[in-house]
Parts: sequence; structure tokens; C-alpha cells
Amino acid sequence: MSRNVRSLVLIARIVLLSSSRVQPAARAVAAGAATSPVEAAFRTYAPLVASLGMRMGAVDADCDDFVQDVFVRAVRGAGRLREPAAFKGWLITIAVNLARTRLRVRKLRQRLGLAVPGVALEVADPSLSPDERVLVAQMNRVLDRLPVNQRIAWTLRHVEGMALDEVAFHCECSLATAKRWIAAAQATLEEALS
Amino acid sequence: MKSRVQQGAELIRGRVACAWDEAQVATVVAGVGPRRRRRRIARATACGVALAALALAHGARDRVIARRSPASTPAAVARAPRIEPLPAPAPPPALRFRDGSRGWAIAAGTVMRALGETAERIDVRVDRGGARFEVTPSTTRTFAVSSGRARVVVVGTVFTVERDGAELRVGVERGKVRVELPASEPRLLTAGQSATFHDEPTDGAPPRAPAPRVRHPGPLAAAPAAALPAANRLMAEADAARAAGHPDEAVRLLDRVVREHAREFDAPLAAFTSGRLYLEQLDRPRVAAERFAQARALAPSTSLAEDALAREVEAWAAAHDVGRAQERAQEYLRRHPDGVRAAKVRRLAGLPDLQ
Repeated sequence: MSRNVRSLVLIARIVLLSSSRVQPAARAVAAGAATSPVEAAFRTYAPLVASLGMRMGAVDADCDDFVQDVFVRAVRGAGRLREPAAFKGWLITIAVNLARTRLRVRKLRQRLGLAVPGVALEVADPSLSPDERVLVAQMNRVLDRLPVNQRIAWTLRHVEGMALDEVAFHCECSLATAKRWIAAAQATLEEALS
Repeated sequence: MKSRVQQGAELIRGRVACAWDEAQVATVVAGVGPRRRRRRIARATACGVALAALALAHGARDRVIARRSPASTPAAVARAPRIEPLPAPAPPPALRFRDGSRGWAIAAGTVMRALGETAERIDVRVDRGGARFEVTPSTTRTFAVSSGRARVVVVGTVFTVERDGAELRVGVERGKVRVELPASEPRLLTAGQSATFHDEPTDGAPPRAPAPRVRHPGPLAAAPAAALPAANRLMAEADAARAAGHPDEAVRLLDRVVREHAREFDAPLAAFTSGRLYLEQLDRPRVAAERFAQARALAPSTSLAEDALAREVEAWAAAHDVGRAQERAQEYLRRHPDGVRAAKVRRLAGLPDLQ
């Protein structure tokens, strides 16, 4: 069996054997509505990946490229996964790594004085008050100034609500390092917004 | 009570998301295959170019070495590794406190001493020379450095205090400090700023108000702040001015963002924030209305435009210009019949309710 086919088979198993959240995707595959396992996995996890990318500040509202990149890497490497149940966590790690790269490139462009369009934390909910919008914009400005690793670790912990060991796992660092990054980011945010 | 950071995190968690529909899924899935093929081609091309460049560089190096020492063979040339001297160890801090805060002398002949340390406050005095302090962040403890009649109060920061006769120079590397002098308003300095204050001893005459010269950013600027785009720097300075209770300074900076960086992301928000300050703190509702209109013009198709229009109604109402308030209110109701501020806009403009 070729590597690509192995990857697709594994993704199909992941989609069909996962928790109840993916039952709609599994039913779609069974009913022939979804054309491929990739599309089924996509339907299930794309919103998660896209929102994660936005909240880390790596993408703006046009997140198609980011999500596509994540899934290209996921499809390529899915054959290495031993545990289908670990697919979601692994996908998040890929998204975190890709976000880190994008944020670093953006910082480099800023240091070189190249114009970089601001990546706004696009607010989808129109009922936010102006004060709330200003607060989100202020947070965005401070987060943009943080070292990339601190920004990502803090976002995973305090925005995504992950446990510390999950943050360390997805950032591919030690627990102590993750705690240090989160604490440093929190201190900077508190000083700036107090 | 939640901190602003907690509130902000909750807003980002609850309100920032990327909406997906079926058409988008189909388009993006269809692009996965071609994207993989393009990546394979790009990787192969990059490898080929890198190998070619390496070969060229190796060949050029061989030619240079052969020209310089004809007797040596390229492969035999090896440079001894360069041994870098170890950096000199940092001097131990002259002052250490129980909470981990520390102070170092940074000039010869510095005279500084700790005056006292309790759970609520730490007091230090610098009489001559210069000192650098790293203060552990704490919301329950004040860290204050006095020098002459000046007092520098900090909450978790890295800063320097240099005393030279009647002149006091304060620079902030990280965090914020507030500099207090008699007969003048406290001055807030943030990361990257430094200022010089004149603190002359009294001789019966009323003290002269100091004229701080603030530089933004100074040599103490942390690398990330110095590398910020100009608009971001101005916004950060405006935030600091607002926090320090200087709305007039804040609107001056915000209006600069709108004037000089109208095409950048921050410009609509700067116009909106400027409008709020003119309306709520500077009591200039007509100018506020202009700023809200500007915010709308800079970002016409965003959700900020709806808020800016509602605020424009409020500003014209505050300026007692009933005609303009009603005109803008009717525009709001036309554009946003189900808008969240429809009821308020009707009330402000004196329009009848629907019910």
C-alpha cells in the first residue's frame, strides 16, 4: 500500500472511530455525501484549526490558506500516527507550529521595516460594545509585541483553556518552559492593560 | 472582579472565530491536492538551487585558497576554532529584597541605600550617581526610589535612576514608573521612555515646576518596542497618556495616527477612540462627532462603522444640534434597522419608538 493511500486510510479510521462529535461526518461518509476521508476530517476539524489560527494571531478572517497548509501537512504525515485517537492533538500541534512560523516571519518583516498588514483579531460578533472592541484591539497590540513562543503559550492556556501539560505538549517544550512563557506573557499583559 | 486581561481573554475565546460554510469547505479541500504537488516541486527546486550554490561557493573558495597559498591543498586548510572569552560575570546587586527585587549601582561613586522594607512597601534612596532596579511585579506592594525631592514609584519593572546635582534622569526598560515631584503633576513613563527632571532645593522661593524632556523611544528601548511600526508606537503612547490622565495628549497622538497612517489598520480605531475622549473627557462633542464620522469613513464596511454612527448621534445630541442628530439617527436606522443601538439612537435623537 503506498504512503498516500496509508494516510488516507488512517484518516478514514480516525473520522469513523472518533467520538460522537464526528458522527455527522461519519454518517456523511457512510451515506456517500462526503467524497473522501480528507473532506470528512476537514469538515470535522477545519473550524477548530481556523479559529485556533485566528486566536493565535497568525491569520486574519481569510484563513483558508492556513487551514489548507495544516491539512496538507497532516495528510502527508498521517501515516506516522500510531494512535488514531491522537489525531486531533497532533493536528493542533501542526497548527501551532505553522502559526509560530507565520508569526516569526511577520516579526522579521516588521524588523526589516517592510509593511505588514495588521492581522486583526477579527471580531465576528457584532454585538460587542466599542469598549470591548477597544480592549480586544489593545490585547492584540500587546500580544503582537510578545515573543512568539510566549504569545502562543499564553493563548493556548488562557484563551483556549488548555491545561499546562497540554500547552507544553503542543508547544513541544518542557512543562517548566511552558509555565515560564505563560507567566512572562501574563506579566506583560497585566502591566500594559492595568 | 475580573482583571482586564481575563476579560480580554474571554472576549477573544468567545467572540473570535472563523465561520465556515459548505462552499468554503469544498473549495479548500479541492486545493489540498494541487497545493501538495506545488510544494513537492518547490522543495525539489529549492534543493537543486541550494546544491548548485554550494558547489559554486566551494569552487570559488578553492580558487581563492589556491591563489593565496599555492603550496597548500584546499582540503588541508583548516582554521583553528576561535575561542571567545567568557563574558565577565555580572556584579552582584548592591541591594536585595525579600520579594526578589534588586538594585545595582551603575556609576562610580553611587550612593544608594535601602530605607525600609515591609510587606506593603519598599523604600530606597539614591543620593548620588546612578542605579538600576529590577522590581518584582506586585499589586499589593509599592516600590519607591526617592532622590532629592523626587520620588519614583514602580509596580514591576526594570528602570534606572541617575542623579547629577539638581538633575534627575529616569529611564524605563520594561513596565511603567510614575515620577512624582512637588508642585507638579506626576508623570508616567513607560517602556522605552526616559525623561530628565530638574529638582532644585527650595530656598524660600516657590519651587519651579520641572519641565521633563521625554524621549520616545530612548536607548533603553527594548528591541520589540523599537521595532514596532510607527502607528503602533503612537497608539501605545496614546494608551499610556490616557492611563496617566492626559486625554489631551492622548487625542493629539491619536489624531496623528489618523493623519499620518490613514491606510493602516489602527487608523479607524484611533479615530473612534479620539472621538470617545473628546466626547467623554474633553467636553467637545462637535469635534467628537467629526472623529466618529472619520472612523466610519476609514472603515465603512466593518462593524466599527455601526458603533461610530451611533456615537455620532450621541455626539450631535450632546452638542444640542437636534437636526444633525436626527439626520444621523435616521441614517443609522436605515442602514441597521435591527441594530443593537437602534433604541438608544431613537431616544437620543428624539425620534418616536416603534411600539
